[in-house]
Amino acid sequence: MTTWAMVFDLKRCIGCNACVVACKMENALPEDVFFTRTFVIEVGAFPEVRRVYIPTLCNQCQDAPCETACPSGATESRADGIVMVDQDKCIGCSACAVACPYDNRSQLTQEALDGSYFGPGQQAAFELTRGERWQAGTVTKCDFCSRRVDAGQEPACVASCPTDARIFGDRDDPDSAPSRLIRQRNGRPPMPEKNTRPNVFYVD
Amino acid sequence: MTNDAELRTEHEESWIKSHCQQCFNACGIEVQVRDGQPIKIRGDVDDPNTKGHLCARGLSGVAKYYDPHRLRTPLIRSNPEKGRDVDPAWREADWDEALELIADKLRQIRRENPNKLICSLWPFEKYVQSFAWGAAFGTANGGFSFSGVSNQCANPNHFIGMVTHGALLEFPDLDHCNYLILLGSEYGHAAYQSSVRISRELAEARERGLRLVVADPRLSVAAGKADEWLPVKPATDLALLLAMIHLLLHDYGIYDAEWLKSGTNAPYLLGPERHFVTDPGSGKPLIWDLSAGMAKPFDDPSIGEPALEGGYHVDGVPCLPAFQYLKDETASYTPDWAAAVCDIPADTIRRITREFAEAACIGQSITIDGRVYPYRPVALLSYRGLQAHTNGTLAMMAQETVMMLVGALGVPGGLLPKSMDGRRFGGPPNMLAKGPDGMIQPQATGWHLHTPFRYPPKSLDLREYGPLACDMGHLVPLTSLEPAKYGIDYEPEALVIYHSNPFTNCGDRGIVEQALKKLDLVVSINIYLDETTRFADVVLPEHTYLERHNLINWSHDMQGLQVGQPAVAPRHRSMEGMDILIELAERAGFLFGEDGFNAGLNRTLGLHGQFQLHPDRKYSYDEILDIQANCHSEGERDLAWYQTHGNDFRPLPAAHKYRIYGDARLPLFYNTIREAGDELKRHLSEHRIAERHGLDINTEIYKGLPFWLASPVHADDGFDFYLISYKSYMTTYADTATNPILMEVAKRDPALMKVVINAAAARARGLADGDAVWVESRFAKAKGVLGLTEGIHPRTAAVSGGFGRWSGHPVAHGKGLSQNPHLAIDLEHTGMLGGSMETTAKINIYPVEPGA
Repeated sequence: MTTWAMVFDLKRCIGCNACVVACKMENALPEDVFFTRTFVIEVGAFPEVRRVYIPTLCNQCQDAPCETACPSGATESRADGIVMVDQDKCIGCSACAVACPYDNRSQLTQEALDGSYFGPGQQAAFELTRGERWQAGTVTKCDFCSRRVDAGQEPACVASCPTDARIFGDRDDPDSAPSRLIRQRNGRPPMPEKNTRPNVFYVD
Repeated sequence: MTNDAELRTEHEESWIKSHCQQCFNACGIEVQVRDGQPIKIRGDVDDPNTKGHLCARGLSGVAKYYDPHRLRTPLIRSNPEKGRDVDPAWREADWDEALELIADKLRQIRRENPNKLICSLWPFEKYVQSFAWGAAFGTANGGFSFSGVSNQCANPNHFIGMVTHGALLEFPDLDHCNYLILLGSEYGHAAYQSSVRISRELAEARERGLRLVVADPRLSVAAGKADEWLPVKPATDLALLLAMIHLLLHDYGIYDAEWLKSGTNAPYLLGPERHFVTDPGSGKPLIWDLSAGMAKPFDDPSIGEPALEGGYHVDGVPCLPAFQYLKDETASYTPDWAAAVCDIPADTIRRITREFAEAACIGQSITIDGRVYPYRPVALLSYRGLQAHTNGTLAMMAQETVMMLVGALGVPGGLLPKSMDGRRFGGPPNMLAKGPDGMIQPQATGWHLHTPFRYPPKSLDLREYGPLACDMGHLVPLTSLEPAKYGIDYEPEALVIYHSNPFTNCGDRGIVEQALKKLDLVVSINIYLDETTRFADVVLPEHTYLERHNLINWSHDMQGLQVGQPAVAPRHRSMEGMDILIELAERAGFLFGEDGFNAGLNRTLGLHGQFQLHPDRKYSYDEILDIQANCHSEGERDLAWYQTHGNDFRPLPAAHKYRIYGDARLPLFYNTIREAGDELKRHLSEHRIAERHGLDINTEIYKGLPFWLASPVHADDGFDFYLISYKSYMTTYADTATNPILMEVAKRDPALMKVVINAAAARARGLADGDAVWVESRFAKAKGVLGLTEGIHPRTAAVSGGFGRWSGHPVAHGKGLSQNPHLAIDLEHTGMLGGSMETTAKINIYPVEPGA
C-alpha cells in the first residue's frame, strides 16, 4: 500500500513563496484562490527575536471532517490517502469549508473563473486552461497534485521549493524521506487536538 | 519521482528549454507551450545549479509575456514638454523611422564629441556585451550612468574582491564551511547571486551544522533564521569588522602567521611614505629576515624567518612590515569602542570573533583531488547592505582583512571567488597572474580597475577623481546639470537606456528630473512605459525573455553555457535588444572596422580563431550566439545543440576552484590603493582641482588599510530614523511590482508594502501598526502605511525595494514605498574609493493628519 504524505521542514522554509506561485500556475487557480499558503510569525522581543515561516496546504486527513460533512459524496478519500473532490458531484454547499478546521477549502465562483490577472476580458492562455480543471459553484482544495503524482511526478510545490523544505513520499514505506523525518525529528501533525489524523507533518 | 512524465492533452504541447530572466541569475527553465502560447514555467531538472527548483519570480514569468501594458511598437513623443505629470503624447512609429531618428542624433554627437552620449545599459546577462557598444561609439559614459553599480549593486565588493583575490563575487565554500557571518546580503535566503541554488546548499550546510550569524539592521530572512542576529546600526558594520581585526591581532593573537608570511605582503617592508621598500638593484620589495638580521628581496630563497612585527632600518631609512603597520593602525579599535559606534555589545563582538577564529582551524589542511590545501571552514560575506555607503569600500577591505588574517580566502571552507573571466561566455577559467613584485595581478574583463587621470575629465561620473571606482553612475544626473562646475568641458546631449528605470532607481528626484529634461534625446529600450519614459523621446519595444535567444554562464563554479531561447514567437512588433544596438551601430557608423562594435564583441566574448565576427559584416544576435557556441566548444556544439540540450555545464575542477591566485601574494596591505591615492593627490594638486572647482576630494581614503570613517548620515541632523531598503525573494531584482501573480502573493505579506519600524520605538512616538504616516527626508515626502516589528534596530526604518511606482503600469501603481527619492546625490554622500552611493537615508515619520 501507499499513503502519500508531506513533511514541512520549518528549519528549511524561508518563506520565499515559490510553492505558492508554483501551485497557482500548476492548478490554474483564479485570483485570490490558494491551495497552499505561507504564514510568517515573529517570536520573541527585540533583540532576542526569531522568525518562523509556516507553509500550509490541505492536510489530506485520514479522518477528514470535510469528507464526513459532504452531503453529496463529492469528497472522498482515495486508497492512497489523497482526499479528492469530484466536481461533478459537488453541489457547492460549503459544508466541507465549514467543517475544515484548517481553512483549506476554496469556493470557485463563475466570476473568479472568468476573471483575469490582466483585467476584465483579458484572459491569457494559461488562465483559459481553468475551464478544463474547474467547475463554477464547486468547493475545492489541494489534492497533492494527484494528476502529477499519478504520472510519477512530485506535487508542483515540492518540485519548485528552493530549499527542499517540502518533503513528499509514501508514509507506508518506513524508509521513505517523510517516514524517516517524522520518526527522527518527531514530526507533528497540525492541530492534533482536532483528531483529523493528517497526512501532513511539521518538523523543526 | 521524476519530472519527466507528461500529462496527455488533446492540444499541441511542448516544453522548451531556456533560462529565466526574471533576475540576472539565468536559472535553467522549461516553458510549457500550448498551441503557440506559453502556459507554465518550471525549473529545468537538467540545470545542475538549480536541479529543477525555481523561485516565485521565475515561476510567474509568463505574466510578462501576456501583460496588456507591454509596448507593441516603437513610440515617438509628440509633446516637446517633459515632466512627471506631462503626457508625452506618444505616436506609434515604424522601426525604421524610430531608429533613423536616433541614428541621426548619434551621428551628430559622434562627429562632435562622443562623450556627449550617456549610456545606461543594464540588460542583465548581456551588460558586458552592451558595454562594447558604448566603447565602440567612443563615449567615456558608456555603461551604467544614472543607475550605477555604485547605487544598484556593490562596487566595493567587486573592486576589493578582485584586487584581493580575483573575486568579482564571493561564495562561501558550503561543502566545507562551518561558521558563516553574513553582513547583510540575504545570502541563501532572499537575494545574492545564484540564489535558488544557494538557498538549497545553505539549508543543507546548516543541517550538517554550519553556524550562521547575521549582522543586519533589520531582522532579514537570513537573520530571522540564523543562530544569532546582531542588529547593527546602519552604515557602521565597518566598526564591527575593525574590532574583529583588533581582537585577532591584539587580544587573541589568532591569525595564520605562516600563510601571512608566504601568501600575502604582510612581511613586506613599508617605508615612511608607506610604500614598499625595494631592493635598489632588482626593484623587488624587501622582507626583513630575522634569522639573518637583514632585509632581502621577497623571493630570496635564503630567507629564514620573515619578520611580521617590529621596526627596522634599511639603508638608514626606518621601515616596518605591513603586518606591523596594520597592527599599529588598529590598536584603538577595541570592542568597547566599536560597541559605542555600531550598537552591538562589546562582549558579543568578543565572543563572535573568538568563535570565528577558533572555527578557522588555522594550521589544518585538507586533500582534494590529490592536492593539499589549507582547511579554513569560516567565511564573512557581505554585499550591498555593508557596502553601499560612503565607507563601504573600507568595510569591504576590513572584511577581506579578517579573511586574510585567518587565511580563508580561496581555500576549502572559506570564500571562493567567482572571477571575472571568459567563463561567463563559455571560455575557459583563467588563473591569476603574479606580478614582478610577487603580488596578485587582478584581471577583469570589461571592468575599469584604474581610470587614468585626465583633465578636463571625460567621465560624467567623475571617475578621474575616483580612479579606482568601477563607476559612480549615480553622480551623472548631478554633473550633467553643471558639467563645468566639475571641470568637464562638454554638455551631454543624449541618453540611451536599456532595461533600466533611472528615474526610480537613482536618488533625489529633483536632480534626476532636471537632468533628464535637459537632454536633447532620451531613448528607452523597454518592455513597458515606466517613470523614466515620461522623459523619453523615443521608446523601443524589446522582446521579453520568452521571445529571444541568449547564451550565458552565471554560475560561480561551473564551466559551459546555458541557452535562452524563444519559447514562442514575438507577441508584438518588438526586437531583440542586442539587435537594436547592432542596427543603431550600423546606421550611426560604428558597427564595422577595427574599433567597431563587431570587433568589440570579439574581444568581449573571447571569440577567436575561425569563430570570430568579421569586422565588416553585419550579424544578427542569433548568428553571434551561434558563433559563440561554436567558438567555445571548438565547433562541437552550435546554438541548435543548446536549444535541444539546454546547457553543457560541468563542475570546475578543484584546481580552478581553489587558489586561483596560485603562489601570488594577496594584499594584506593594499599597496595598489595607496599608490593610486598618492598619484591622485599629485594630479589633483597639479591641476589645482580644489581651487578651480571647489571640490573637496578626500584622498585620505587611499590609506591602503581599512580605518574608521563615519558616514555623513551619522551626523545629528534632526532626522529621527535611518531609512534602509531590503530585498525579498518575490520582489527583488526585476520589475516585479508590475507582475500581478507576484503582487497577489506579496499583498498577503505583513511587511512588504509598509514602512516598518521597531515596535517599542513606535510606541514611544505614539505610532501604531497600520497608521497612515508621512515619510519625509530633505528631498522628498511620501505617504505610507506603518508596520511594526520586534525585528529591527530601534533607529531604523525599512522598506522593500521594487515599490513606490507611480507611473506607467496600473499593477505597480501606488504599491508600497520607494527609498530612492530620499537618497542624496552629491559628492559628500559618495564613497569615491570603490564607487558607492550612500544608500542610507535620513527621515522623519509622523502621522498623516486626518483628511489629508
